[in-house]
Amino acid sequence: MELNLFLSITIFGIGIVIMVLKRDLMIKLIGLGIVETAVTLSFVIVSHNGPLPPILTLPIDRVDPLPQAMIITSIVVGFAVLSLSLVFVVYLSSVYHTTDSYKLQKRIKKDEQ
Amino acid sequence: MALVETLILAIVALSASILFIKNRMTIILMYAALSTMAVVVFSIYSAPDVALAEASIGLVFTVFLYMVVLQHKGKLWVAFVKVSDSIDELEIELLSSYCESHELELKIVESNLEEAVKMLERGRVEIVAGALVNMKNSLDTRMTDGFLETKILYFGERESSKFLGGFTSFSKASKAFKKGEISGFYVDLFRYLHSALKNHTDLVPEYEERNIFYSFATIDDEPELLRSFNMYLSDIKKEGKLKKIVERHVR
Amino acid sequence: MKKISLFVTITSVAIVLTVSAFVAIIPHNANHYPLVTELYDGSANIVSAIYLDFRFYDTLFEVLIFSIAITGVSMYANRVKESGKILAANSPLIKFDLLFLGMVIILWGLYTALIGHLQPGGAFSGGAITASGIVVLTMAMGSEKIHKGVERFKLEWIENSILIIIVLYVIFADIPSGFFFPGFSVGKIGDFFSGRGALLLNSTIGFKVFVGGWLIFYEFSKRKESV
Repeated sequence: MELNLFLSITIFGIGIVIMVLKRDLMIKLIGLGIVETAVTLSFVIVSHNGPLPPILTLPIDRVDPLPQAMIITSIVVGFAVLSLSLVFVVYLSSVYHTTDSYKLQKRIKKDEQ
Repeated sequence: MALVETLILAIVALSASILFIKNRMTIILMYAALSTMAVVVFSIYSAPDVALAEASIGLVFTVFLYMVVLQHKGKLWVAFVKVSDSIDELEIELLSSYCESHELELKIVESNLEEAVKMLERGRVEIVAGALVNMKNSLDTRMTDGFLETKILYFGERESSKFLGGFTSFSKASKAFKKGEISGFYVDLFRYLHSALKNHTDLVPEYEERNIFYSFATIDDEPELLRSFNMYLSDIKKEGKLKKIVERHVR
Repeated sequence: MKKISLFVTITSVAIVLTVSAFVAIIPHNANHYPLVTELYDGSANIVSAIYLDFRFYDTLFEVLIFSIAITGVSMYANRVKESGKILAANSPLIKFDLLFLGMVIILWGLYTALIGHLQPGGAFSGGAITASGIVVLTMAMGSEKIHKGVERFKLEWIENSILIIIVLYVIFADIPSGFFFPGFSVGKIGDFFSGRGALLLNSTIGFKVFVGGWLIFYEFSKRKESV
C-alpha cells in the first residue's frame, strides 16, 4: 500500500485521538477539522492515477474526477457543520462561562436538579 | 515525490503536536499551517478544484470564524451581595484591580446570598463577593485568602447556630431570635455594625471569634482562578497596596 | 473512563492502520466521465460537470444543508445576549489598502465562480472567496457600516429564494438544450456559453454561498461573547 495513504489514515487517527482526549470543545472541533482534512487527503491520493488535472482541454493522462467532485461536497458540508457547532459552543459558554466539556457536564447536571 | 511525503509527514507532526498544546490561539494557527500544507499537497496531486475549495472554505473562512469567536477579552462574572457601602466599595475596587492586571472585563450580577451561591454552583458566575468569611462551615465552595480581618459574633446557643440563622439580614434574624424561633445564630462584624447603627439593636453578642478574614468564594472546579487570585492578593499585600485600599474605604 | 476511551480509540486506530497496510487499491479509472462530459455536458472542467450535472442531486442537498446551517446559526446566535462590534481601521492608509484589497478579492471571487466550468474554481470556492472579501471590507470600515447591508438587502430572504431557482432548474433541466438561452446548450468546449446550466448554477450557487458566508460572519461578529 502506498505510504501517503497510510500517513493520511494516521492523521485521521490523530484527529480522533484529539477529539477524545482534549476537554475543550473548541479543540474538539479543530480535531474534527483535522479528521476532515485527512479524509480529503486520502480521497485525493486515491484519485491520483494520472499526472494531469481533470480538465478536458488537457491531454488524456488525467486523474479520476469522481472522488474530487465528491470531496468538494464534503468540504462545504464540513464548513456548515463547523459553523453550526461553533454557535452552539458560543451559546453554551455564554450561559455557563466555560468550554471545558467535563465542567459543562457537571454544571448542566446541577442546573437540571 | 519526496516533497509530498515530507509535507504529509509535517502534517502528521503538526497534528500530533496539537495534543500537547493548551493555548487555543496557537492551536488554531497550527491548524491553519496544517491546512495550508494540505492545500499544497492537493495541488501537487493535480486536484486544483479541491485545493481551491479547501483554501477558501476550509482554511481562510474557518480561521476567520475561530478568530472572530476568540478575539474578545475574557470576562470575570461576579455575583455581588450588598452589605454596607464601605465594604462593597472595597470589594469592587479589589475585583476591578484584579481584572485590570489580568486583562479581564468585570461583569457584576447583583443578588442575595442564596441566589448567589446557587448561581456559583451552576457556573453562571465565577466569584461571589459580599462580605463572606473564610470559616469552614460557611460555604461549600472554595474560598480565597482573606483580605480584611474581622470578627464573628455569636448570639444564643453556640453549637447549633447557623450563619444569620438562615435569614437574609441581621434585623430579621434578630427578630426571630427574640421571638424564640431560632435558638442561636452568628454574624460577621460588618453586617452587625450596619444593622446596629441603623436600628439601635439591643442584642449583645455572647462570644467573639477572632482571626477570621473576609474573602471571596470561587467556583470549586476552577482551581486556576483560585490560584491566580491568591497570587494576586499576596502580591498586593507585599507591595502594601492592599493596606492603602483598605484604609481608603474602612476606618 | 478516560483510560478506557483512550485504549479503545488507540486500539481501533491501530487495527485500521494494520488492516489498511494489507489492502491493495484496485486500479481504477472512471474513464467514461471525460467522454460523457464531452458528449452530453460540454464543460471543460470535468469535476464541475460532475457536481453540476451528473451528480447534481448531491449538490442540491449540500446547498440545502448549507442553508439549514445558516438558519440554525442565526437562531442560536440570537439567544446569546450581548452584542458587540468590530472597530474600523484607524489609519487612513491602512483603511484605503484594506478597501482596495477587499474589492479586488470580491472581484476575484466573482471571476472564480463564473469561470468554474472552464477552469478550476467553481461556485463554492468562488462564493467563499467573495465572503472573505466582505470580511476584509469589515476590517476596513467597521462592522456597523458593513452589517447595515444585511438588513438593507434582506440577505436571509435572498439566500432562501435562491433555493427556488435551483429547484426550478432541477425540474426543467431535462428540457432540450437551448430552450431558455444559449447557456443551456452543450456548446463548444472551452466557450463561455457552454456546459448546459453551468453558468446559471455557478452564479446562483456562488451568490448563495457568498450570502451565506456573509450571514454566518455577521452573526458571529455581531455577538460578542468571550469563550
